[in-house]
Amino acid sequence: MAATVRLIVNGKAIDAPEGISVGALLHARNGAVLRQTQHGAPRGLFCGMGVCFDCLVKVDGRPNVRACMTLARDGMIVEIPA
Amino acid sequence: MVKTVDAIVIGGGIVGAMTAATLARRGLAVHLLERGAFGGAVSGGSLACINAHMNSLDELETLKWCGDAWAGLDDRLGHSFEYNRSGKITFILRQADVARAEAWIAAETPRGVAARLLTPAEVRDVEPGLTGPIVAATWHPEAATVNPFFAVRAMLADAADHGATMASHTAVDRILVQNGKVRGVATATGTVEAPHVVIAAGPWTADVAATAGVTLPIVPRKAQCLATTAQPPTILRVIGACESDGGIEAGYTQIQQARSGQILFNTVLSGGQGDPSGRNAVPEVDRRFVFDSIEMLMHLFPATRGIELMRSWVRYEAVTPDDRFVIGPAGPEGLLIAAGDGGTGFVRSPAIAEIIADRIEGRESHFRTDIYAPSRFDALVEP
Repeated sequence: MAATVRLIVNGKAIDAPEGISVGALLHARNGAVLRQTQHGAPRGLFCGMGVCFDCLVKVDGRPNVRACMTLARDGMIVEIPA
Repeated sequence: MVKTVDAIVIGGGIVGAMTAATLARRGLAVHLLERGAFGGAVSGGSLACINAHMNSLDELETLKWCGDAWAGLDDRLGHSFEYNRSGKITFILRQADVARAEAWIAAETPRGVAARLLTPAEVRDVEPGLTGPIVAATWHPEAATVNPFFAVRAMLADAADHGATMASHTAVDRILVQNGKVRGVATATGTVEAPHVVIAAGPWTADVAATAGVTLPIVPRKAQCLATTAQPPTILRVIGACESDGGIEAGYTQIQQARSGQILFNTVLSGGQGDPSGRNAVPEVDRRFVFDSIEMLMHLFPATRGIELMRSWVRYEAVTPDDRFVIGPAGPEGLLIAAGDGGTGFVRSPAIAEIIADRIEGRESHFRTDIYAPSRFDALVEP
């Protein structure tokens, strides 16, 4: 069985296969809509390769990190902007 | 049916939009033509600073008037374009450049520009995050920024409110001239007639003017910008480099944080003369520009280390041999030029629009206009 990592997403512990990106993890769990813009428009994994900056989340306190370019890591704290 | 108006403005950047709005407010029937998207070239790609300090002593009274005019537009147009009188810090990295800054301040102070020299400790009082090593800085509290996209749109909306019509994605094929007088313009979608045609087409101005037999020494110059992802408030003021000799620390560098939270970085590299075709097929930014910019940003604002770059872009400014705008009549009767921004079109656009409108209405302008005369280059462009 593949190794797993445990990260905290919006305060909840989530186990994920090692090597998965935060973007893929959230996409698989939550569907296409990852977050909303400040004007309420839906955003998610659009390009999935670091270009579009639509999948921004907060990682370990750093705002506006691209989920698609961030590998899930044990102990990582991910916050999806409200 | 041929459309007929009092004046045609070619170019939907800030200069064209402001000119159209000013003419329309004065009661003229105006039609504005833009080859691409409104504000989609140099205006939209700019960092839109409204600043009189360390800018141009020949134009100081005009620049001061423009600063007040922008504040007035912000009030009149319902605070619709993120006008922010943040003040500007001009950082100085070399001791030799302190004397340059002092010379600017000495010339400007008696003429009513409130700029002064700050020590690095004093800089931190007005910009707490600027903790990197600098020698000194100037502080000009009246400088402001606007959102360039919103500002262009606000002026276009103002023009439309006063009866102006406009079309984007409509290039002018040629200016129509008859018996030494302008008669209108030809576009792919038809002819528009007017006794006055204003070319405010930035780096395309010389090409458009050439269709009326007018040669102008206006060339494109490459400027480059970076934007980071949105950050919490990190940079409160406009940050500019002191006038100096070349490189990333030269006078064109500008750093600011937009209302969106994005940190914006702009510069013109020395020798940044663009490939003449570049304005039509805009290239990527230079790798060196990206590295130098990041290094400078982290040098000045150590807290920016680790934040993510989001975008980069190139824009083509219109540059004249003396780095000053060309504003006024050229060639056939009725043809007017308003171009040659050198990256400073936003601040000057309210005065440019007034000068053009005064000329069309046959009034004496209260601005100094001789320094902008297109005829100053006649000796240069004679075949």
